[in-house]
Order: sequence, then C-alpha cells, then structure tokens
Amino acid sequence: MERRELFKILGATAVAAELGLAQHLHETIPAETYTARAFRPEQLAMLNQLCEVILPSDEESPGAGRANVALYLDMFVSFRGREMKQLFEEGVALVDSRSRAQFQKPFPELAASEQDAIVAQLAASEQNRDDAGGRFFRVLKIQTVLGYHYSDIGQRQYMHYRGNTAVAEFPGCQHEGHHAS
Amino acid sequence: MPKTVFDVCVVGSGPGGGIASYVLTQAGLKVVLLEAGPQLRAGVDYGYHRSPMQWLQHGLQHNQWTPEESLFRDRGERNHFTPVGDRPGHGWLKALGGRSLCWAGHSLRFGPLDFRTWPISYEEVAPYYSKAERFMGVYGYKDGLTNMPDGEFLKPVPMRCPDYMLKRGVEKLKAKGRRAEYVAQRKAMATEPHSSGRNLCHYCGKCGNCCVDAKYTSANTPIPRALKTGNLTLLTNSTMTRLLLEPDGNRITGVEYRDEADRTQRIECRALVMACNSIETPRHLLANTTRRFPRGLGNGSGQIGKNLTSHFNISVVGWFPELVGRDASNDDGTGYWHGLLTGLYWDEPHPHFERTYQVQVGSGYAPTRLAVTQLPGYGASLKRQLREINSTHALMNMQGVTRISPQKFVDLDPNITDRFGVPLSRVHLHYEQSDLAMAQDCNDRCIEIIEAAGGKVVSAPGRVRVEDLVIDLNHWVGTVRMGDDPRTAPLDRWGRSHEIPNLFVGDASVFSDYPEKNPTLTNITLSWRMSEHLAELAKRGELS
Repeated sequence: MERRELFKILGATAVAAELGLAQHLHETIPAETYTARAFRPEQLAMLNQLCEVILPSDEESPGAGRANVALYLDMFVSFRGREMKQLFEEGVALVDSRSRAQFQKPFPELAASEQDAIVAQLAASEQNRDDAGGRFFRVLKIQTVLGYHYSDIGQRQYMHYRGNTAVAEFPGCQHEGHHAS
Repeated sequence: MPKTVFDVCVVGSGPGGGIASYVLTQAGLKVVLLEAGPQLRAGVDYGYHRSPMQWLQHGLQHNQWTPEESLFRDRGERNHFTPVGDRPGHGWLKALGGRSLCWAGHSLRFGPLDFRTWPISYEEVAPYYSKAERFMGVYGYKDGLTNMPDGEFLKPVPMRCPDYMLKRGVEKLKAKGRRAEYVAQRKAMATEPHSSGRNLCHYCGKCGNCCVDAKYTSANTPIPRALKTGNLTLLTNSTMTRLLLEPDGNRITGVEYRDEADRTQRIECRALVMACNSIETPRHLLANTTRRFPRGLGNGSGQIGKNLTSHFNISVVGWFPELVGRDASNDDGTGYWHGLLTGLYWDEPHPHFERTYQVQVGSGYAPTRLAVTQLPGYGASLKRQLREINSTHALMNMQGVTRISPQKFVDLDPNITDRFGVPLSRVHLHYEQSDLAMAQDCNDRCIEIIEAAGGKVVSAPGRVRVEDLVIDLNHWVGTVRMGDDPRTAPLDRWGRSHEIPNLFVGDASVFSDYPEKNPTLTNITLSWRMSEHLAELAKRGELS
C-alpha cells in the first residue's frame, strides 16, 4: 500500500505520523524461517503426502501437501507436547506399515489410488475412538484443514481472501436480492 | 515528591476510570490516576498485521498457540483469582486503558425496560448516554427499537450477506407472530472525522488490537484530554494495595500503593473512585476492614460481592448454500461481529428463565477455526466445503444473563494472597436450571432462524448441558450495586457509598441489574454521571 493512500484512509492525523504507522502498518513481514521441532524429514514428507490426499491440488490451487502444511503440523505437535507427538508418530508408523503390508512400498512411493485407499481406511474409522488409525486421522484432518486455512496458499490463493489490509470504505452486502425479505 | 492532597484518587484506568479522570479534571479537580500496568502504544507495542502462520511462529517462541494477535491473551493477568464451580473466568488487562484496549467496541444502550429494577430510570441516564456516545464516537443505524434506544451515531457500518440471510429468517418468523429483531452492530469506532481527532477506521477487522486508535479506548481519548487540563497526575505501573481511613473509619484519607520501583507509597485524597473492575473492586473493599466495618468497607448491607452476574454463551453455526460463490474477498470490516439478533423476551418473559439474551452474529472471510473443523469426508469434497462454508457461514453467539442468585458471588480466598499480602478473590459460579433453559431456548431459536432463512446448521450444542456453557470473562457486573435502600445496596443512586461519604465506584460493579446488552457503554455513561455528581459535591464542600 502507498503511504499516501494509507494516510488518506486514516485521516492523516498527526498521531499517525508521530507513530510512524505507515512504516509498520500492513507491510508484509517476511516469514521467519521455521526449523522443524517435532518430526524428522521423512516423517514430514509423509505428513505432507497425507495432507495432500486430505486436501488435494486442483486446477485452482495447490493442495495442503504442496502448501507444506506438515510444517504447521510440526508447530502444532511441538506445542501440544508428548502425547500428541506420540499420536502422530504412531499414526505415521501405522500408515507406513499398512502401505508396506498392502502394497509392498512405503506410503510416499504409492500410486495416487493406493494412497487414497490407505486414507480411506483411516477415514472409515474417523469416528471410532477405539481405533488407533481413526483417532490419528481425526486430529490429522482437523489440523490439516486449519493449517491450510491459515496458510497463504489456502487462504489467499484458494479461498480468495484479500483482507487483513486497509480500505477506505466498507460496503457490506450490496446484493439487492439478499435484502428482500 | 512534595506532599500533595489530591481532590480525587481514581484507581484503575479502564472504561470507568478513564472517563472519571476526564470528567473530574475538566471540572477543575486535581486528580491522581493509579494504573497497575504500563502505557502501551497502538501500532507500536501492539497492532501488527501478520499472517496467521507468522503469528503461530511468533507465539511458539512464547509458548503460545495463536493464529492471530490478541492483546488480551498476551498481556492479560493469569492466576489472579480462585475459580469455584462451573469454570468461572475473569479477564484483567493490566495496562493504561485496561480492557478498553482490547474490547470489541460494542456499544448498545440499555433500554427503559432494563432500568425498571434500578434506582434510576432510562430518562435520567439518557442525557449521559448521549454525552458518552458523542465523546467516544459510536457508529450505528437508527433502528427505532423500543428497548435498545438509538444513540448519537457516526456513519454506520453495514452488514454482510450472511446477516441479511438471518434477517430474512427473522422476518419470516415475525410474520408468524414471533418477536425478534435483526440489526447491525453499533460500535465505538471512528467511521468519520470525530472531535477526538482519532484516526479513521480502515476496516481491517483487527479491532481487539486496533493498530491506529480508531477504536475508542481510555488510553486514546479521555486520559490524553485529562492530561491536557494540567489537573491529572498519572501513575502507571503502580498497584493500589490498601485503602487508608480516618481513625474512626468514617472517611477515606488516601491509598497505599506499590510504585514502579516496588516501593510502598501513599497518596492523600479527599475522595476516592474505585474503578478496578467487578471482581477487584469488591475484593479491595472486602479486604479492608475496620472496627466499624468488620465485613469490609462500606459493607453494612453485606451485599458487597453478592449479586454477581455476567453474560454466558453457546454458539450455533449455520451456512447458506445461496451464498456460495459470492465475492467477499475482503469483508473484514469492523471485526467478526457485524449483526445482532435482539428484541427477544423484552416485554414477555420466558416461563422457564429469568431475564433474556441477545445473539451476536459473526461472519466473514477472515480465517476463523469456528466453521471448518466439523466437516465430513476428505479429498476434493472436503476442500470444496472448506471454501463454501467459510465464506457463507454465520456464527450465532448467545449473550445471555446468568441468573442472579446466591449461587454466584465474589468473596476472599482465605488461603491465598497476592505478593502484596492482599487476599485473592474467589469467583463462585454455579449454573442453574434457569441458565440451562435460556441456552436451550437460544439453541432452538438459532436453528429455527437458520432454517427459516434457507440455511443449514453446521454445528450446535443440540441438547444443552452445563459443559456447553461458556462464561464471558469480561462482562461481570453487580458486585457493588446501586440502590436507594442502604440495607440492600452498598451504593446510592449516583455510585457513592451510603456509608463512607467520600467513596465512589466507577466501574460496572455498580449495575443494579443486568440486561443482555454489552456493559461498557453503560459503565462509561454511569461513571460520567457519578463523576459530575462528585464534582458538584466537591464544589459545594459536601464530600464529608
């Protein structure tokens, strides 16, 4: 945003000038470099593959794996601590062992239809709290959705969100059809 | 420091204390304002437009999980009271301006029916509402509702598409004889040039940490103007620890406080305004006892700490297939909440609960985890739903009044003190049948409205249980209430102690009763009225 334009919106008062708001406000802060804390690189790679099956790429936007939601999951797990880490580590190991048992390959090397078959099994027991795969998938799915939802790719490219910025007017709903009762 | 006797000492710089400092200094009184926290600058100490991922990374460094900035969460007090019962919370932001820094700005007048149980009528308060609204800068539409009167408004901020869907549902139910109203929110934000000189709102939606001071706070409007009079001495990072009285215990002579360097200091004053909040003000009054007041200062009625109430909530989320594909790429506006369902049970009480509730409605494109964690399936269909539901959802958040009863009160913790030796408060909250019945009615009504509007329910409590109820930790009121009878109320109709003539209360603990509407505008209004009265008494030499 142009400094001049911003001042027009704010009313160009002395306060804004004093605080140097134009320098700080709404500028894009470069992403801090994030180093994984919870997972090893091969675990992150598998998580990104799972994320990609849960929210896939299409012609509109990259999916959750290509948006690197695994790094969000790493943040989440490192924040939540030991039990959550265990749930994820066991979940990743389970996915790996099922892949090898059913398709004789690790999950990242499976064909798309094979990966989908593994995820479908997990999803089938999503509501079953007695099933280790179901418990893992439930948390993984919610956090994948949130991680994508919070990512620039998910939010800006896929959801078309253009907010978090300064505008001069807020028009609200302009659709006459919505106003009729 | 040369020894000064101040006309008035105000303790606490939140909405009530801020306006008291302004009104009293304008009247020519020498005022000292004590604030436990530091001064924070909007856009410098808080107010950054980072992306959610950047906030998450930032938060992790401080062991916090937060996809967005929250001044209240980052700087709010923790472990400063003892919760008893059904998960009572209490918010306290130690900073100049207090929780006026992080409030959402919702400014709804209480109506004539709401004052029926008070010692003062709406007509007596209305001129002060007007003064407060003009001073603060409150935007809104003139809706012409009976029990949520219109105010002195700046240019309104319109509603979003999901609001119009719900309004349609409400109109359909009204045609069948139901009573309800759906209107746009009214908030204390500068939408056009205003006498305060504050910056104009730029509709970024980050109102809880407004980065340009477009939103009214004590720190950006009344306190700077009080300082300009030359009559205000401002002491930040200074915590009041004790109230000082004459030997006979009849009058306040000052307060003791701990200063920035952790030294014990004293202030002498001719009158004291307590504006700490509805938990801390009763705490200090109860913690200070004398021979005349063994149950706490000015507590001959035994009512200090009693009559505690707050708002509590449940949420129902709906979405509107009709809105799929709408262009709403930037509808951040003035934050999540743009719509309000009100007019419920104003003049026809519900048979199963006391008082009533309103429903604040949140919507918009900005990422909120609220609407997207319950979706079924995975793959392309999940991805599609994520966008459809996020962009078309409405979150209906009940704001109901907890029943006022002996089940809810504040007292002192007999075992735990703060580091100054003052006992912590205990906040007792036990929900009752009336509370559950209210939440159940809200759940059912919201679902009915969403469906009448052609929408679908994403999530709702269904059969409401106590575990579903969430207390509003910032809306406590009533613990030092006003009333004409000294046997049943600690304060008179102005907010002055019945028993200690130079003790006044300027926060929301003075409320005699509580409607469903947000407390801050009325807190500011009543503190303004109390302060004018105090100034008048001081002029006439009638403070003792």
